[in-house]
Amino acid sequence: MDLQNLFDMSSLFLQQLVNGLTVGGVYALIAVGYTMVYGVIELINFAHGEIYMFGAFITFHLITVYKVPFFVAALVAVAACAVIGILLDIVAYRPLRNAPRLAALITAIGMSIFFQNLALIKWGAQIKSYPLEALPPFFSDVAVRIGDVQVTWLQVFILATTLLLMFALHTIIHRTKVGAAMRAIAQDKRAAALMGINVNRVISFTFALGSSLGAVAGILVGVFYNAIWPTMGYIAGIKAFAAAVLGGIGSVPGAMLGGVVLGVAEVFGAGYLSSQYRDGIAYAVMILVIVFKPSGLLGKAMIQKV
Amino acid sequence: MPDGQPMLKLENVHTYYGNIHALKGVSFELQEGQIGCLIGANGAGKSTTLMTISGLERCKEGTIEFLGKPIQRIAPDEIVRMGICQVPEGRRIFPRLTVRENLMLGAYIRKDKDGVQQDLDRVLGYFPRLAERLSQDGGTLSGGEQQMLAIGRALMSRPKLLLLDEPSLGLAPLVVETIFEIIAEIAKEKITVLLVEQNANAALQLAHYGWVLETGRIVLQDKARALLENPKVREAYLGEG
Ligand SMILES: Nc1ncnc2c1ncn2[C@@H]1O[C@H](COP(=O)(O)OP(=O)(O)OP(=O)(O)O)[C@@H](O)[C@H]1O
Ligand SMILES: [Mg+2]
Repeated sequence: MDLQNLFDMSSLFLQQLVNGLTVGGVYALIAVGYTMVYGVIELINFAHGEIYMFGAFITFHLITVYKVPFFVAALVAVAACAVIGILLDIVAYRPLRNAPRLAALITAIGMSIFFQNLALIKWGAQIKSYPLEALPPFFSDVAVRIGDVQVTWLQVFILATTLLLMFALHTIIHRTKVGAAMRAIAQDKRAAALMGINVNRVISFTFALGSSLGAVAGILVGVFYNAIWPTMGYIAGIKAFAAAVLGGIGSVPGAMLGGVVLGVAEVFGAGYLSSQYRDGIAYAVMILVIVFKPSGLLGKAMIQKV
Repeated sequence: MPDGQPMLKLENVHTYYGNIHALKGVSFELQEGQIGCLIGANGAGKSTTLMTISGLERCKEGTIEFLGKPIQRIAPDEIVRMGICQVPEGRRIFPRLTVRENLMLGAYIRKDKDGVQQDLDRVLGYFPRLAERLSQDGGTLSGGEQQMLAIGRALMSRPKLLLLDEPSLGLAPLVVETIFEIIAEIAKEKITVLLVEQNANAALQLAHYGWVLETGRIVLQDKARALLENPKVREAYLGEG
């Protein structure tokens, strides 16, 4: 009887761990976008959550209106979001590069609201879901079952995609020329320009990269919960931002770690305390980090920037 | 290229920081293959002159010609591509990139892998201490080593014109000596050098030609040797009189 209890408990634990890692991986995908952009232009891009939302909606639009196959739609949406990210920077942020930081920050919040309303006009306030027949059928099949623990192929797909993209991102940042330029710009923009780096072009690349990953996250979440709505980027954005702060804003490995830790904490908090606490956990984590370790888990100690 | 055309020619250059009029009509010419030296007190506008040449500050008036081409409206990265590289004041190496990554960023504009490797070997020949520290973060180097890294990084772009802003600043005399020896070596490799220095004595001994900058204006210019003899210069910049 006791043994059975223990088994139930550990299988619950395992199930929640898998769920937490799935959610956390998605947070990490969004969080790296915040942290990379912060790294190169010291701006919290509050409109990043809306890029995530656009990823989900553009995919939805292509599937439902143009009957495009899911994976093709997803790829096109990711590319579109990369372009939206670049344009966002050029139109909204670049003119304010030398303006007071607060001006850019307020613009970022403005762009976030603008994008939400654009989506509201285009797709309406109703929660939408991807038509089941348009999704790959294997998604809902169970991939692994251990006792009561179930992992669907969709979860495997999300975890694998996240891992793969994180690996790719790490490779780009540490093994390519443009990655070295990104890191150089994050450390000293003027010195980077003196090396012949076209700073604006590398910043555009950073937006494209962060926006693509954010879009992938939006699509994965849209499929996972089978629900998308125009303000979905708001709460996800705040959580991913909390993850980036937890990891140390500006640190890419920090954002990855922060996302996973936050996702796991959230699922366990909801499971063992109450599901009502779920969203509060991100705020609690963010406040604790800001109070006790403002530089985050992996961040460099830094002066106040916002 | 016609004979006698200067490598670098500034004409009536005015640069502002907001309302601050930092350069008030700076004009000078630097011949190819020479070492030119810009001296002047703190705040005279030496760094501003170099930053304006590099395109990071923009002149409101005047022209800057490099090998006969006006460059005062050209983007900073394009200026590097044309062959002007700067070692900025305070070294400005990338502290959280390794020594190797710092050097390779110097070669950012280049696509000729073999040439880059050759230049890397050459730079490490100049500065053997960097060779032992290639995988160390730039920020962990000593001040002198960071200056070597900054110069090495600039050389990696294979510049035609090297701008050096106070390379001796804050360094021990022995290290300064090494740095100046290397600058002389660099100049022998047909790289034209524009040197900004407070250490006027050492700099003028090295240079062919010199200019004295005072609150945004060139007030004196001559052959370096003549400037060394000039009583006004000796009094104001060589700590005599
Ligand atoms: N970013 C800036 N904003 C406003 N004023 C500046 C800025 N940089 C320099 N100045 C001003 O421009 C003038 C020239 O400065 P600059 O740095 O070119 O002098 P410098 O000759 O290099 O001095 P130092 O020997 O101290 O390096 C100074 O009056 C300085 O205060
Ligand atoms: Mg200076």
